[in-house]
Amino acid sequence: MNLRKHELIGLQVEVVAATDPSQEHLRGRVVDETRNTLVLDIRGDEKRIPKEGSRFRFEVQGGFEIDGADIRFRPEDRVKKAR
Amino acid sequence: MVKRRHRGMERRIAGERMVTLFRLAESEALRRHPGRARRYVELARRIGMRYNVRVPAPFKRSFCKKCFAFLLPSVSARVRVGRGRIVVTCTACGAIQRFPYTREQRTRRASRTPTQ
Repeated sequence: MNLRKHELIGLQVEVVAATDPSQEHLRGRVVDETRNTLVLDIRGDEKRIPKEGSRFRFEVQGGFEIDGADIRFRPEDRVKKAR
Repeated sequence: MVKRRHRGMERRIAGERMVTLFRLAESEALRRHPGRARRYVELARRIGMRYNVRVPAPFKRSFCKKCFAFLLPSVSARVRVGRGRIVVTCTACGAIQRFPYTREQRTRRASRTPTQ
């Protein structure tokens, strides 16, 4: 399954790489998504992570790792634009 | 080569995403996070409009058509029945939705007094 086109909100995710060293290795649940960012809930704390320059690993069956730049679309556009 | 869009697949994925978003909205509303719930309803509707997919029937009446708040009867909505319609008031913005059930009344009346 291509997660690029599917819903990311609600999934557990780990930030594998980020341009901001303080954001690396953060883990949490996606609670919101915009064109340029994902908002993670990290034990009650909301953190906004830019997609550009970050790499995410989503905790789904089999695991799914992706460059944030590849999903840099509005959430409703991702179905037709991301591939 | 230009990659062609596969509309059937797009609409299928859109429908799946709408259902997951509405479920998330429901659980967030139950956890008293109305802000998040509203955001998820809004996203689900946007996806539906972009890919021409209807709001799934079970969720059609579950949110305020004006402010998109997820409606939980007695928590975020007031539900009253009478005079041939159900009246749902959103306690967040005060918008009123009315769902008439005159068709149901008519069929019930027809089955109660069979024509002689």
